[in-house]
Amino acid sequence: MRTSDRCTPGLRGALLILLLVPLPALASPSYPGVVESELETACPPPCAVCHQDQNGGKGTAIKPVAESMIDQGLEGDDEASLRAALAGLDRDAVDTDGDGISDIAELKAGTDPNTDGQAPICGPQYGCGARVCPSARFDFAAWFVATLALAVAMARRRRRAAR
Amino acid sequence: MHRSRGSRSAAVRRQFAHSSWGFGLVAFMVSMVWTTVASAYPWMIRHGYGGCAGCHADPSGGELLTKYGRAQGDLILRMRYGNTELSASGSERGTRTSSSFDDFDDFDDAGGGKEAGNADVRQAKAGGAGADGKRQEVEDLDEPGSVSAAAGGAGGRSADETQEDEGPGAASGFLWGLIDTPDWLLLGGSFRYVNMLRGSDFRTFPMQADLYGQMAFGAIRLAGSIGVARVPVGSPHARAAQITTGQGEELNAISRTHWVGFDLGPEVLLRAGRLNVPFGVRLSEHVMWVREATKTDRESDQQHGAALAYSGSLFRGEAMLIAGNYQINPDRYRERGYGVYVETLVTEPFATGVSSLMTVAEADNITLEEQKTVRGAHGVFFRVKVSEPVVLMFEADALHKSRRELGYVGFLQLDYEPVQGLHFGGTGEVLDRGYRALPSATPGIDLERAAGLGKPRFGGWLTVDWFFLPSLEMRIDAIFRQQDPFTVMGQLHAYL
Repeated sequence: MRTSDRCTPGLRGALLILLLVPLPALASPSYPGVVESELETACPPPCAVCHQDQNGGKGTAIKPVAESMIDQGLEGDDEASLRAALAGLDRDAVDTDGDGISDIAELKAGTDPNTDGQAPICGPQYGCGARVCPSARFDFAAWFVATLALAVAMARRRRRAAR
Repeated sequence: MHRSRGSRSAAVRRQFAHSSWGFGLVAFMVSMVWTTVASAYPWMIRHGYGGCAGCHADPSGGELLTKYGRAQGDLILRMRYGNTELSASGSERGTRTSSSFDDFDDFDDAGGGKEAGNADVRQAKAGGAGADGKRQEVEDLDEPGSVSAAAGGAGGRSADETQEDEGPGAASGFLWGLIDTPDWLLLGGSFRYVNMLRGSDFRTFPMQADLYGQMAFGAIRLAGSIGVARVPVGSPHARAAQITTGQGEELNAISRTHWVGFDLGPEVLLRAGRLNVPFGVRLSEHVMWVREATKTDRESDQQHGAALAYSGSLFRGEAMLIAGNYQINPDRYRERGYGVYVETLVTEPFATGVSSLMTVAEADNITLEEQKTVRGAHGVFFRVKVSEPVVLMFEADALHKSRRELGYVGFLQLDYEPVQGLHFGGTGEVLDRGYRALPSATPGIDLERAAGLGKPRFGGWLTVDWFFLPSLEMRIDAIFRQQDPFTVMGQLHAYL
């Protein structure tokens, strides 16, 4: 087999090694995904529903609803315990924030079971085609485009005038 | 005496045509699947590269390489297995000899990120430096092989000999030289595959798969990246760069950058689109705290907006008006404001700068609090070549955010390259995101002061990085961080 002398055996070997690296499943199921599939929620619950913030991490699941689920047997890195905890919340109609709506109902509705009221829990959605909420506030992008168009129009007009 | 680019590439193509069809097919498929996490290597200052615009399409560094950047990467980045004479000469060309390394713009004369797409600008650059003969060098450096020829000359060998035996040949081109692109087109890509042991949790996954390109028509440039990513729900990575709308664990298409640029002169580039936020040292380690806490990494923290970059002889910098990331919805989570850095070459091997960032959003996309959130970071950084193999880099930033006390983040990194292509690194990090100033309206969100949250949190990296073949890199990092399990990460990186 003839090969390019630019493509040295070493290089070809390295390429082959790269190609032979097995491509595994990319990610293991996570708790938000389990909650989403179990409860058919409007969005995967963000980490901040249970954790201190969106960064998640061990030792930071300190929100009240997380404690309610821990009371139902939730443990870390154990999806079965999460499913059991969700079932327990549903069975006992646990209402952590005492607003009259059960935690499970709130999660299904996309509201925060930690706070009294209807605070939405679905955080940012990603991708160009995701839902966009129109905003009445100052839109920098629109103003930038409009300013650019205006500048071009003025420049052309000035050039015509100069002729 | 150089073989023309066309004849050389034709020869490569002929030779490749005789090689295994299977190999070609696999290479093609790989090129279609892999994507680029091109890297910026700020320690290239050791070779006299204080700035980035000569080797990267982005004037502040990262991602797509110019042809000159590819050639220099082949000459002075990868291991040469004994051909140190050539490497040293390549490095010397970067510095224009150590005594002449007094200029961020040295590299710029070799293309300024545009390649040959704008002959006027290039000639202006060359003309501006014509007194010291740089004009001829510019013409020479357009050919990757020409660098080796010059280096070969320095080594007392003929140019042809050097080019054939040692120079940055076709393997430094796109897809290891399999495809020769026209002057107006730059193509690149990266694939980064990671094996990670975090505590007792072992994971193996492709970390990055992007393709990059730039077209230049006169003074106008169009550039962007396209790739794929699959991350768990809730992952802080990749999501913000999605262009498809899967919110789960499915594969999504991503675009980290896409922009239109206009060269206002040889040193000034105006761009609009999704851009890397200009701030601090442009590291390739996107999880380094300085990049995470300031949200200025090149992984997915880019923002839409307009930026003006200047790459001068003693100063360089970029200022960006941030219009928000339009790949995040709804609008209340988009951050708007500015990012800016300015860096100056103080002495021969010492560059230092300042950077500042300020944004405002209607809601906090980290805590999900529905309150206006102002976030800022302001700091200093430097890079210094201590000796030929040793480079030190440092950054310290003050952090502020609504409803939080003042915080800070910083790193100090030493890069030691005893043999060309083999790097040993040590990095120290510190982080305090700032303790919550007022009790939250959300129960449970208020925590005791802890490392990283009102108290300093420390971390350290030990790194071995080996550029073992053209455009191929193996890297191992051992990461020690307070409150995190000990992590060992090995990665294989191919730059297409």
